[in-house]
Amino acid sequence: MYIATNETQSGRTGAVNVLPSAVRRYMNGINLEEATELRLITGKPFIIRYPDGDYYLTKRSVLSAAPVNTVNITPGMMNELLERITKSSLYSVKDEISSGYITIEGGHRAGVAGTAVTENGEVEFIRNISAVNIRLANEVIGAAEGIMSRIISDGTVKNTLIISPPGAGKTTMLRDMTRSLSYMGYAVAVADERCEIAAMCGGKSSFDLGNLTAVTDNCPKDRAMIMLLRSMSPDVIVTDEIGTSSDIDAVEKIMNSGVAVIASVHGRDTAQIMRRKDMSELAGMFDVEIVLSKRCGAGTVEEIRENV
Amino acid sequence: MFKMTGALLIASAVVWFGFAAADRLRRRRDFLTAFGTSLTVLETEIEFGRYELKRIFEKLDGSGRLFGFYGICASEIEDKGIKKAWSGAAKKAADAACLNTQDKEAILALGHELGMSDVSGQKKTIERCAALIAQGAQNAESEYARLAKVYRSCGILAGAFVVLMFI
Repeated sequence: MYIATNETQSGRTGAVNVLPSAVRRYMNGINLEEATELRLITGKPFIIRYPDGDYYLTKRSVLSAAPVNTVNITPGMMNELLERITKSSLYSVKDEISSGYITIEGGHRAGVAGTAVTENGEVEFIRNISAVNIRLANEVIGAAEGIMSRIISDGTVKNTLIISPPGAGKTTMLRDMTRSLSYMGYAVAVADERCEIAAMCGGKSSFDLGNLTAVTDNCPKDRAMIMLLRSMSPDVIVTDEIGTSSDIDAVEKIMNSGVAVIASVHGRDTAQIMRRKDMSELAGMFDVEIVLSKRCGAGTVEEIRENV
Repeated sequence: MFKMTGALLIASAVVWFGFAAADRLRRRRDFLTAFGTSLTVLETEIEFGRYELKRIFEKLDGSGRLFGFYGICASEIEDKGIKKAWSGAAKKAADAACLNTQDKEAILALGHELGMSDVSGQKKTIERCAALIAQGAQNAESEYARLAKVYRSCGILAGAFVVLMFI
């Protein structure tokens, strides 16, 4: 089971810092070490989600399983929250908002829900944001320790696919694999379309990704992978949540260029992936498949399968 | 002797008033000119750099002619938000640069919309403010050209007159 760092508790740089002042004043003494999400919905109580359940923040600065004397989110608080999340610069995160999330300092991800503004069938923006879900990022140094020997053979990194349901730790695993490979001397390039692996803030990664890691974020991963292949001469390219046919084409191109690919995909197990037509083709391209689950906590390695 | 010293003191004060009045005109002109230029940089940074406002403000905080306007905004934006940080800085700068009500309102209006829309919205807002500021800068320039010398001359002449009266 992963042990989260206490970064989430940091007042200045953590997720707490973006909360509205009227919520922050009650957060003193609240332990966020095991927390996974902070949920703010206009007109509803502020909820902190832990692995063992949801808790309400009360006006006595304690957590309660029952919604009594709770801190409720007002429209003013929501506006303040958005101003803090966007750092008063909505234009700088417009594309992220269109995708439904904003990466905040510390690598945490604030998912937003509201009224979508569409143009030519594409979501241009989300206005009247009424709900924000801050998913707390965990940096787990050593999460990939047990599997590194399985993905490196004779100094060569194998093409590796991580299969995992949401919330089972695939991004955390990818992040630690990136860090480990980088410190082992491999030039790693990260195509971080959803800004989750590196969580770049102001040009710097929110996590330790090693000394030889280059990141292209906020760019469609198929294009980012090809750009990185051409520009950064990497040994390994790491990317999260592949799924489209263009992703598969890009992965194939990279593998055929002699560069290893480490990627993740949503799924419960290999059998489930193989039932999807496009994915079965994809899975066959990888040398190693690692299946993760939440059975003994996020990051439980269920299976490591090597394709011979 | 006392009479002469008194006369010189009063004359100095009168001359100082004249020069101070001229300096107020200069400060307004310099501020509006520098502020207009900074708006161009602000627009460019938002349009092409997509940088956060704090970072842009830190970059813009170099001109002494702006009386630390952007420095105040940069230091207060995180705690107070853009509207409060901007209006606080605008009020301080307006006093220091002797801006008139119209200048002040144009700057304050920008603060209400800055950072709150997409790039094209920001461009329009900044351009609207820049047009008002340019007009203000033009007025300030012509006022300075027309009145600064008059104020200084009046100060000197009034000072000389006081001295003559006392002799």
